[in-house]
Amino acid sequence: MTTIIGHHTTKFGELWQHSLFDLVKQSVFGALKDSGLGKDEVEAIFFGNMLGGVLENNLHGGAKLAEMLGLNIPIFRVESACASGGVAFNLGMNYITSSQAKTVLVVGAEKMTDYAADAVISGLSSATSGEEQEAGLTFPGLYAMLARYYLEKYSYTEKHLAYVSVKNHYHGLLNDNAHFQKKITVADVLASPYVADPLKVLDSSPISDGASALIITTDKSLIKKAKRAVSVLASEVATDSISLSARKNLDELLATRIAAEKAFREAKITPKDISIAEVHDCFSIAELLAMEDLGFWKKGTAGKHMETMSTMHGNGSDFIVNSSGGLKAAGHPVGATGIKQIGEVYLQLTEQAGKRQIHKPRYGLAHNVGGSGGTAVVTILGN
Amino acid sequence: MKISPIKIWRRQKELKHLLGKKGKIITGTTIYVPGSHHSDKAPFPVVLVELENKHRLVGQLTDYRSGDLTTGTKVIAVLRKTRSSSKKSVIVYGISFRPL
Repeated sequence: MTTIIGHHTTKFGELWQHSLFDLVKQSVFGALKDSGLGKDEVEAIFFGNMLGGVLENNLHGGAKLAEMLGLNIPIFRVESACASGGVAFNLGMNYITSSQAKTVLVVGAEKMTDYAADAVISGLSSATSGEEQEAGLTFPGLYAMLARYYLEKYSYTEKHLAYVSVKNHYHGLLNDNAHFQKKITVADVLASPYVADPLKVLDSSPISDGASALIITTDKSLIKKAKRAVSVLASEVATDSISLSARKNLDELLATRIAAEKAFREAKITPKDISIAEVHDCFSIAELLAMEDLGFWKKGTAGKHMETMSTMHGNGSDFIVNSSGGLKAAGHPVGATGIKQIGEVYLQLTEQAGKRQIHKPRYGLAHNVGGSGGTAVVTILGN
Repeated sequence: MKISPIKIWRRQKELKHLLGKKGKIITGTTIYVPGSHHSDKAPFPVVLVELENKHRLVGQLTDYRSGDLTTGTKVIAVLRKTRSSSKKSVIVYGISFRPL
């Protein structure tokens, strides 16, 4: 069984003093230290990054990592929009499963805050279709279209979206690495200005810098030696059309549903077995859709469920969602996000999550989305 | 990043087949924070339209009045400038939708 034996996530936020590869280095050496491994014990690296080429003219990351680490092992840069980290993890898993290596390091990183917001928005929009780009659609715009459709179809209001941000900001307060450590209220969310109607500033994840790394292995001696270890029960990727206009249903992300069904089948558990989930809340509507598409709640009921705040830490529930603060409050350095999500589940399952630790979780799930649902990755971990 | 004039020319060859097509709005939004290619247009509405032949596409809503950005509004595909342009760049035209 492939097992996670080390993890490190840097602080997320506006980290002007650090370059992309400063952040990569911090997370890689942090994960090596956590696992007790030396760099020479890593046989391959998968590096998730989306915008290095688009914003910074910074490509050929594999060779840059090789120089930094003084290694000559296979290193692969993986791009799949905001799912770059999750897909890098999946490829690392498959590399091990296909017996190419026993021990692999997966790292995701992004440097976004060196650039003006409109340049970053345009860069992110490179992961939309040509037709959507020409119409001026941004990612907030695409998710706003999904939000408007969902709210109208199931008779919800913007207030039902706001609960997601309130919950995730509360969790961010408990996470020292989070981009935002500030409690907000439903009134704060509703009073914030629109980015793309009906989504507002406080419905949206921020532009962040950060990196996260994990070490996975099937080497029994390393697993036995590891201070903390968690098994990867499933990692599944699914895709869908890049354009919203080519989708049959606009009240779901089909790729999430397919990846989740495959992952639960592979892990031989059901959504009811999950105690901790990190879901892709790039915008508040995305968490509502994710909770339904992952099978936690029935289609059309997420608005009602969110109102109860049952998935918030400290509310007495045995199922907590986005304990890290999610993308909304922990931040969203896009290439790092998918790795950080799996890392958060690892921290919870190994009882290292500090103030946000939940009581004896057994199974956890991470859900990472690329674009407006063109790619989805679902990973299930267990003890 | 600048868009290549050749890419614009290639894409615009397809536009004539869409002009005059009618449909209705399925969903939409108003973009308040645009990317750099649309920075002088914000705020501007964008709609997802289902045409009478059931084909769906997105485009900006143009020549509209308050209340037109509503699900079910009937629209027609027209040719409009879609991106910000300068004196040195090619003017990009694309499909927008005008309420009927």
